[in-house]
Amino acid sequence: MGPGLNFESLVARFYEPLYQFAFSLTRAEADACDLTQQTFYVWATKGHQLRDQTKVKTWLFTTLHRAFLESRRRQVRFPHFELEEVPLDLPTLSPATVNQLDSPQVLQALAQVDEVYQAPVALFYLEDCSYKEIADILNIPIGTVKSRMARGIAQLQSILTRGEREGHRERQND
Amino acid sequence: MTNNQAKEILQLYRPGTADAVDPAFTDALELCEHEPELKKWFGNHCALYAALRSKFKQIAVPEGLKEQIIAERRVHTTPMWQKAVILAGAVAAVVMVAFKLMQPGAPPERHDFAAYRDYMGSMAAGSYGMELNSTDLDQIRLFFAQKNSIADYVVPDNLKANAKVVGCVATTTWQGKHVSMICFQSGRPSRPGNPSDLWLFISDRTVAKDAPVASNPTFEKANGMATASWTVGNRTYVLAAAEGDEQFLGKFLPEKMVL
Repeated sequence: MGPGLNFESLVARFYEPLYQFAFSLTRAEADACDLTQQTFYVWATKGHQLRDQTKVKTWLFTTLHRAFLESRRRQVRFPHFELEEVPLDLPTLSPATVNQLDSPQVLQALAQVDEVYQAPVALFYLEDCSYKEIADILNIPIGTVKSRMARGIAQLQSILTRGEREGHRERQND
Repeated sequence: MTNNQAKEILQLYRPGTADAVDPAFTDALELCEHEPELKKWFGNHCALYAALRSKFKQIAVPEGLKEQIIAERRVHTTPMWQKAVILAGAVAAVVMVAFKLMQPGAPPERHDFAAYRDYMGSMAAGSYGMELNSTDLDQIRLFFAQKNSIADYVVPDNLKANAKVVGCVATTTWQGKHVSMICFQSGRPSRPGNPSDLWLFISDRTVAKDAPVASNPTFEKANGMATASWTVGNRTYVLAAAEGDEQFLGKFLPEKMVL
């Protein structure tokens, strides 16, 4: 570990946002805990190699995301498609509608978003990282980050809007 | 810039973050000041962002996670001098393997249990890097589990009672199979540079075709070490002592095995 970076204070500072990011990707407490622990384990063994200590946060999120991708790769290959072919949809979702939802409902909606967009969307809402940092975390160019975010956000809002409409219809039928 | 172009840019704007000073948003933000319809849309976007962000931020972190992470780090920490020993051991092993491979007409690799036992004996006698210093057998078992080595073994009560555990090595393998190595101190004066004089190796019973099938120990010398080998369930155990004989090893074996 680099000088000035105490492991315990580092954990105290980042374990919550890392866990929240992991949970938004996995939707499983045990998997999110594993990813968070694994991230700090990698830090404990390799963190000393990081020369620029201002990049600790990016390093940790990058490590967690890599570990997630690695675990996913073992389970299933990502479906590949051209991002440019995905239509950009701009649904009309109101803040009031979102306020009536709870966190698991939103995460359930995120789970229905195309997998390649999920991490960018989670980082969009969870973290205050700059787009450059997000690009580093996801290991993709900034332009790709933005296009994936835009499409992912559109999908998420579309799913939430659809859920709201279906809920409204059900209430009417009752 | 049209209103639609500004919306396309601003849909990625996160209020309350560094995006406020990001040049990528500057022009679109400025346009908001002059376009009432765009301004209204932008206000809705910021409110929607805040609402969704709050849902993500509500993800509850399990109690005790922080403490668990910190505790695990303590388990994994290896002092620098030990890392140096491990590195030196690894380099020596690579050199030895390379040397053996270069020898013409080298005998074929042995796969029998005697070869396994000899190898473990030589490992105990040679230089190995203790990966975890601990006098806590539970902590050692946890360490093996974390390293994906064998952790479902039974340490004989007599070994626990009559020797002091000092650490373990989790990364030992024999022909691709994991071997968990626990290091003990029998109470005899220790050799300089090596705090252990008694080692328990645990492998799967498939480690060799002729591995012991019974819980009664077999005693053999292996590279100058006194060894006792036995199998219980699907685990095969080799207990090696730097010096001693069957009677000495018997003090550390399960009751029913004691001669």
